[in-house]
Amino acid sequence: MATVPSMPSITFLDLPVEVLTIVFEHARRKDLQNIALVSRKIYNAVSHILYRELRIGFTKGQVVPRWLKYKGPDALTQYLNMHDDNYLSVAGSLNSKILSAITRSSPAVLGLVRVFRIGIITVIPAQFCKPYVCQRPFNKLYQNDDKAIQGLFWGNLRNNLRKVEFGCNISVSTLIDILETQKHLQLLKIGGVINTRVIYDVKYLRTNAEYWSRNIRTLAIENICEDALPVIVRLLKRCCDTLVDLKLGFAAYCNSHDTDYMNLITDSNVAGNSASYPRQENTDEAGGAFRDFMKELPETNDGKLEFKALRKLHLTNICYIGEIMRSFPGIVVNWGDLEHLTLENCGYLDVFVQILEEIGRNRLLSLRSFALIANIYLIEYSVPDLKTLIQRIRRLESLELYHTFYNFHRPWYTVAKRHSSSLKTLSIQNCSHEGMCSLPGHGTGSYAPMEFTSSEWPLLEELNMHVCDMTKYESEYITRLTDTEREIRKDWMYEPKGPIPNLVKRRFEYLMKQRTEKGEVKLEFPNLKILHLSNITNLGEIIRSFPEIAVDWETLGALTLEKSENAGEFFEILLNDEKEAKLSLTSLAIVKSGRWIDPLDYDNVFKRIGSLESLVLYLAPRTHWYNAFERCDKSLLRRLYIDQSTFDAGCGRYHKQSFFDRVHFSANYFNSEEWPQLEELGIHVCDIVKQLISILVHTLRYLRITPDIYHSSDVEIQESIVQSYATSLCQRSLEYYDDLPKLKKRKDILRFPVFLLVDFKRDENTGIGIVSVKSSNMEELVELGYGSYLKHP
Amino acid sequence: MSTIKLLSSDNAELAVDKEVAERSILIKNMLEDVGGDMSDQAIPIPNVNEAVLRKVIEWCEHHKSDPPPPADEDSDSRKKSTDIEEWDQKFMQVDQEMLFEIILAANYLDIKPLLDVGCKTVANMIKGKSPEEIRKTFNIQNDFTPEEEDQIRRENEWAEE
Repeated sequence: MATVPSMPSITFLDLPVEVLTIVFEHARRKDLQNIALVSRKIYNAVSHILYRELRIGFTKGQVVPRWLKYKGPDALTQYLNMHDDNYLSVAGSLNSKILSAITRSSPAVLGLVRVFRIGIITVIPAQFCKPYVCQRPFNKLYQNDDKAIQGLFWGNLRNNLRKVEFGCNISVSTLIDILETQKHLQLLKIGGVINTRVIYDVKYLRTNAEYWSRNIRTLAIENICEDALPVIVRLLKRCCDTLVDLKLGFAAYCNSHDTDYMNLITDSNVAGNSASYPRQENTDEAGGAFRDFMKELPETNDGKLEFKALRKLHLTNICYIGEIMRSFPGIVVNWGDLEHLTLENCGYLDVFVQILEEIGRNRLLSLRSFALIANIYLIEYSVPDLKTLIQRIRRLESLELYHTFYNFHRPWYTVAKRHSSSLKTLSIQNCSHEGMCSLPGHGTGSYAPMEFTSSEWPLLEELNMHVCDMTKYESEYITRLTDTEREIRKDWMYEPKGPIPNLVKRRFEYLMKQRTEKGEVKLEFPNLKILHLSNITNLGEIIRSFPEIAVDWETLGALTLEKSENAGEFFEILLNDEKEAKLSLTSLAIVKSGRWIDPLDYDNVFKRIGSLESLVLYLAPRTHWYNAFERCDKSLLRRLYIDQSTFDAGCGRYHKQSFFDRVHFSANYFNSEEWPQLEELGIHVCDIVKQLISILVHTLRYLRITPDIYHSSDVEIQESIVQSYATSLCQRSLEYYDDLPKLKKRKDILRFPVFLLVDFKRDENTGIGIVSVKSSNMEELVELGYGSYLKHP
Repeated sequence: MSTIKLLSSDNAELAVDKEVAERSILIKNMLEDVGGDMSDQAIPIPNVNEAVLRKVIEWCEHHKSDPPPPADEDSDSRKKSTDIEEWDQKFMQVDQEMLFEIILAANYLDIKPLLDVGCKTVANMIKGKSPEEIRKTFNIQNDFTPEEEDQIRRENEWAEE
């Protein structure tokens, strides 16, 4: 068909700006930078996209396991929200080079910036680090950087920003600066606000808060220290009408609860009768933060805080929430409309649970996700109420119970079952905190995963199941039982005098038998995409013995086996089907699973797992580590966490010689051709600093080094190990620094952003570890204060 | 199913199913305004010629039963991906001029998904190219002074991802 164009021919430049904008929004950032250089008109069209967001920090964006794609768009946010504490993190220092580049930028460009992010930390799941040793180590801005940022806020960025995110601690005065200078702020996330002993006049705040943004919808401030309280109260007062998503956490006041708790039960000899645990009398420690906080409230106008729009709430380190709500009727939260609730390290929740439950009686609660994390004092008072509470929720999609009290493993499935038809994510951690497992009463039903029935969990996509490490503690438990109690348990417990059999299997047998009696045969997980198991020894044997268990291994996206030994057979099952189809697995983590591997056909494993993007091997035996490392497809790997197993590697007291020396580890392992996609590399501390200097992975964006903290419960030994690392690392760093002029000739090395070192000491008064970091970037050696906030009595 | 007529800028009259035509929000609103009865009168589309209009109708025909795009299109949640489904890729295999015409038509007629596909196609043409290559691809003159270019490169230093 012949057509005659009625208009002169059009070109790229004829596209109107609004269309160009859409084109550019689809382009990658790297491409945008090239586009900006094409011509004036195009530069003008692209610059407001290109400079909309200002990110600083050596991680340069998040490295996120791709399996999160299975979980939909909110998954990342949830993932980060859930996991961003409890890291021995070596968070970024400000790259002063970038900062000075910003300051040199033209005011017009800065005028386009709407989003400011700094030091956002890439994370690995908390289970890989033991939380109590390294609880909340914060980095903070180097003082000069702090000033530079304040300068930016008051200067060219003034009133421009819509979103501000700090992954690190900032000082109170920086917080005030942000609020004073950004009146259009919609989102504010801050890793922590530390005491700086800056004296500011509260009266000044009272008048100036009038100019702060009224449009903040998302607010996340954690690790709030006492100096910041007046600011925080005024901030909440200012934006409580519009707040939809609130994350509020006080500095770690309750860190010592483990010890407290253990003392409590040893003293009071109340085995088996959990309801009689005495309530801790000194409530100052637990509820103190909020008490101080509330003292500020009457200062603000009418003493009222009404959160009308709130849908998502995450509270950390606030005990006695229920009592607080009752004592301060001025605080109004519409609990019935809340959709996401996470309570982390918030002890004494019984009254709070009752309040929620009462509300749920009139109208069902709208909660879609509910997470309880490390609320050690929660359960003993509130299990029955909690169960009722769950009944009052309309439709739950995600339930996470981490580090809950030991008793809670029993009712968890009762709780979860109520919502089994709608749950997509279920995370149960039966006090994997090893200390808890020796407690009386534990074990009476911890293999409740077997309470799953087919067709009951049709939507379940993610299952995180951490069962107690029975073998270690059960014998002790049994000795405490009376004869009658033993008689009751004889079906599913091993004989105390015999050798320890496969306990988990024993439990499975018992429960499977029960299921069969009930007429339930299949145990199917049709949609499972993410599976994390811990403490399930001989997994393969179990799956073989019970053909009723059906998981589609081929479609599984992410698998983590933690403390699950003898998994060799499991891998055979994974690989041995006749189809020889490639597995969809993109993320594999083997953590603390010593003997998982024998006998294993390594070649086959890594041939069949064709597209691995994330490989985590922590505390795996040497051969395993070495073989996996040798055989995995390096071309696709984006994230690699390895350690070299304390026993093999000679960290600290075990051996002097480093593992890397023994297997002739050399820098040759890492070169950019072989690892084209690697963005994130985590290495468990050992003596490899020298080798690391030659790492030339050009895509690498993130390096994490952690000291070994697993293998010793003895604090002194831990400290001496860490101390000796820190010292040797610091020395190495200096050598490294001296070598820099030579190394600089290699262009790739300059892309390697920051090198970090860890020092560690323990505060004698509080027993809390303090981590300090020195960081040398390519230009200069920068020292970072790196401490955790402590509440001094 | 009722049919309506569209009149292109070069005065060609095209008959289209109402349902298909209503992929265009502009036409849809127009029909609503007049109460839906346009059976005897052609709707003029003054900015789009026959060849382009036929292309656009072909696209709407193929996508007539697509679900409507999600309502809350936050600029943040907007998918950055440049993935284009196979049929659309083939559909977009046209010369540059036609591609831009389709984009302009989709913009004018307010057919958001088509506009997105077009823009993604253009974004793909830019992907991985140096500034000079982009200029060549789209026949654009470099009108920067060396100093200006330098300034932009400096700005890019911190905007790097």
